[in-house]
Amino acid sequence: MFSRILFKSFTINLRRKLMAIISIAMGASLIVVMLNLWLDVGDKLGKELKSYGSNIVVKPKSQALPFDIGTDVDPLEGRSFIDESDLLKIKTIFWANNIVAFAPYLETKVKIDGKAYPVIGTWFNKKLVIPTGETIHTGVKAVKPWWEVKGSWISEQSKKSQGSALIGQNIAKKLDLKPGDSLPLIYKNNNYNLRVSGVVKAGGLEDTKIYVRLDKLQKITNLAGKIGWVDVSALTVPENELARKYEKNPDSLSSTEFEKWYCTAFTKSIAFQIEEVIRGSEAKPLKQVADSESFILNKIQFMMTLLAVLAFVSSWLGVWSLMGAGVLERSKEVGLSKAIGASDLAIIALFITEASLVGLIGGLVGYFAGSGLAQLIGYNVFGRAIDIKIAVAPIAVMISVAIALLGNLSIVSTIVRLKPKDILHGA
Amino acid sequence: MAHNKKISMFFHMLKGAFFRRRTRLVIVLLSITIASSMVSGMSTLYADINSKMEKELRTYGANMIITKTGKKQISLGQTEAIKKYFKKDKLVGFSPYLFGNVDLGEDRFIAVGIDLNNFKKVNPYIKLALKGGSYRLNDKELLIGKNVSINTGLAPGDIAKIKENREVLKLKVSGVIESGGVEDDQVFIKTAELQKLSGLNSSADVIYVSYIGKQNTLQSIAKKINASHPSLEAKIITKISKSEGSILQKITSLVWLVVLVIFISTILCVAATLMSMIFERKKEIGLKKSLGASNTDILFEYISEGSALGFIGGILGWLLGNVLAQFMSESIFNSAITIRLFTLPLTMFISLVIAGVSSIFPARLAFNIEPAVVLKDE
Amino acid sequence: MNDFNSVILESVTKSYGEVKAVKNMNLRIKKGEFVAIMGPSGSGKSTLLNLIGCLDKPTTGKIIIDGEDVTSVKSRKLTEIRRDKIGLIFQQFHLVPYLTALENVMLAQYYHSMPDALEAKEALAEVGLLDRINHLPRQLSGGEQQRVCVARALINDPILILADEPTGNLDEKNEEIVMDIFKKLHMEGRTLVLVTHDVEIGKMTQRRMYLEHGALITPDHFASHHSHLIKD
Repeated sequence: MFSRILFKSFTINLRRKLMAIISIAMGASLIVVMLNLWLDVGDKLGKELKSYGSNIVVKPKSQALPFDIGTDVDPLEGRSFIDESDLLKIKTIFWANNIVAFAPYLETKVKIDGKAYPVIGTWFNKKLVIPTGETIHTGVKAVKPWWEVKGSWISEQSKKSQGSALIGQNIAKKLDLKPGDSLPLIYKNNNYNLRVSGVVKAGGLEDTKIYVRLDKLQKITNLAGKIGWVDVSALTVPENELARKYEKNPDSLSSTEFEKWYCTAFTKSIAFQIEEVIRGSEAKPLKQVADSESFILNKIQFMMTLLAVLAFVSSWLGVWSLMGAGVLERSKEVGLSKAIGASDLAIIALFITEASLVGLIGGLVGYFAGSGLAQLIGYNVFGRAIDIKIAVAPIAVMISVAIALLGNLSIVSTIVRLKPKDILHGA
Repeated sequence: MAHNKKISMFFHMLKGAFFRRRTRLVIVLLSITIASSMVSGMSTLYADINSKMEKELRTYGANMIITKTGKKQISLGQTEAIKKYFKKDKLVGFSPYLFGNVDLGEDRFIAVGIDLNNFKKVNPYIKLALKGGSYRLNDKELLIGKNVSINTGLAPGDIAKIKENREVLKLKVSGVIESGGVEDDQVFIKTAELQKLSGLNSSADVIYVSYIGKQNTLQSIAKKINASHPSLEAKIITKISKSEGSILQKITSLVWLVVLVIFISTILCVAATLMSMIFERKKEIGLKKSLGASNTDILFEYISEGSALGFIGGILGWLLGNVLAQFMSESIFNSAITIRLFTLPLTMFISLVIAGVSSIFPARLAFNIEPAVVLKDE
Repeated sequence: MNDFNSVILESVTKSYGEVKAVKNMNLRIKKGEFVAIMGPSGSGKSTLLNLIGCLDKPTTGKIIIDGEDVTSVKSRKLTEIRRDKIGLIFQQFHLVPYLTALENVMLAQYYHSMPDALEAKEALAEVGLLDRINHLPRQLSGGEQQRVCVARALINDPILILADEPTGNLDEKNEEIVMDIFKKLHMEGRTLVLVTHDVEIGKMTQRRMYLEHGALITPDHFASHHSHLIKD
């Protein structure tokens, strides 16, 4: 009998129910959109921020990074190096999946036309097979995505490209060189003839350097298998209390805290893990990129939180006022039911069941609509799909049912106090 | 005289509709106010987001670099001339660097002559290393990079003997700084003192600039500088500027879309509420029609009610929206919003449209109401 | 001849699809008459009232109100005629909930010509509500609300007053008050048509018409078939 009454009561004022479901669906879809975005924006934005380049620099312990202001000092004299064979291990650390790209460097000076110029040996876009069997491509192209190359990049495979060089635009201007020209240079009294394959427009100090394949420079300098330093570009999460605690004093962390720190993708913990696999190395976050990234991500996440709260409040208010608007109509039904002899409990039970149904349907519709909308936004802004988290579905439904119930709450209390005769004899 | 009576009765009815239907009124007014505050708040926020985010992205530091093309260093006069090309309110930092090679104990280090305030502004991410000390550079003081401190064993408070060629300076280490980059291997002193040490009186080898602006703006400034100072080369630090443009665009479109979604959803909810409330007044409409009201009379009455509500709700909502936007701006960007005048007509327009449409739509349905049918409702 | 009749119905039929609510009705109501239209529910009395009250148009036949043929006039014109010539009172007292008694009466004036607070006051005084003119409907008893409706119905000086079960929702005391008002109006020479199923009410009128299934029947026919409606 109850189900018959419920069915009748539900379908009788279908238009009103439909409006309630639609408005709850709208409120729910708004919440779903905000939740999805809130959960995913950090990841997506983090990937975008990789355009700023590497955030971790790996170098031999207590070795200074090269900085040239035009002296005659040989950058390679008395230096220690990193083993190239250790590089692959970067992709085996706990946070291997967060390592987006890395590039090794070896720098020295050569003489061209009697003047000294810096030369860097590196990977441009090297194909690697890492211990897990996966094939990856990494190198300067991935680590410095802002580089513009006129001409062509240097291929890692062909034998011919061993003699190629990418020259910074400043050097190209100075020596009046363009792609295809030959570039004769002298290193420690040995003559080499390189060919300019491309001109790099980097918009920074790189414009003043010459880039060749790492293996070529290693041959020239007789430093096979050695690397000066490595740039690593990793996806990280912003700093929080735990990260700051480690910064202040690494030993202050308990073993559980340390495990948590290790298993969180902070820049420092990823750097720590890199140090573990590359012998004799020191991996440091490049503050310019790492700290700024953290700062920006925190700010955006905070902004999304505020917007989400705002969205939630406004949708709740909107739905609540819609529910409130329907009070009078329901009162008559209730008065009649009461006059017929329905108990307060029965009426309340009916309302609760109805509200739950409306909330459930509205919540589900809202979930699908909201997920679709979130995807649209994701594609529009980031060119990629949002990671839809299933956990959002039950949350959306629960909130919808709660809103539907709360919306009816005031009605229920009014109803319980109502006397049938008031309804039936009033106009 | 005759017309006045009718008009005053009309306003009587309007007033009655407003003040004697309290809960109804509160709900409707609240709905319109919420919708309007979303319009006003979100549009103010969106208008500001671009410039506020641009400012925040300066946390990455310098986006422009000016170098010398030959051996001749940059003079003080040139430095001052170049600075004029940048708008004051958009210039976050302008820091000339003078380089030198110095001996500290047994090791050689690169010394950078700076003005610390300017240095901080173009390198906002550089902080004091844990060794402490203070991040300051007074006369006869020295800031050293973390690795320098490790290599030489110097700590804040120690006196260091710096030598270049034959000149020697005794400086006190004020602090140890850390960047993770080349600064960790360098020492920093006041420009004047480096000039004394090296015997040169030039102002800088390089100038780093942190400026709020898009790539095109920076490029045009660089062009102007290069044109008027051939011994200098002004360049955009592509890595910073290019990324900034792309990130900014993504964040702005994200905010825009979210704002739009909140906007539309609220407005729809509100319109639905208003419409359902008017459906309730079927009886009233039937009654008025039985008394001789025409469809036009009914339409006019409801539109007037709707407009009055839209007007009041619009103003309240506009104010509330600005309060909301201010709150968000303060919490996220630590800065105040600029109250933008265009949001007022926009808010009023949308609020009147919502109220109007929500009134007209059911009122038009009222056209079909037969007084007889409604009045016989039992 | 027509000058003597407020209402003339000639062969009027009103159909709703297959169902004929009023069948081929012919009736006349003279000026100043106090008539009751009686019948059980479903007899078509409400439909008949709607037709006379210019709230509805006949499917076939002719209706003449106060000498004017209203059979096929445009809706707008019908509204005008109703507004100018007819006062309506319903069983459910329809008042605008947010207007006072005075304003509710003035509402009728507003749509007719010009709101006149003084006249409205007088009308309310006539029904004995002078001390209640600024009350809202929710502050008035059922009987008082109905009396406001009566005052409203009178305000435009209609030639015809139609009441559909006006005392149906009232208790005995208020019923008496309202019927007294009707009697007074009749004395003043107004034409009144009352729809009721209550025989006692019917007895207070001047002439009674009986309806069954949309057609007029004789009093005896009515008595024999609807004895259950006759109160003891």
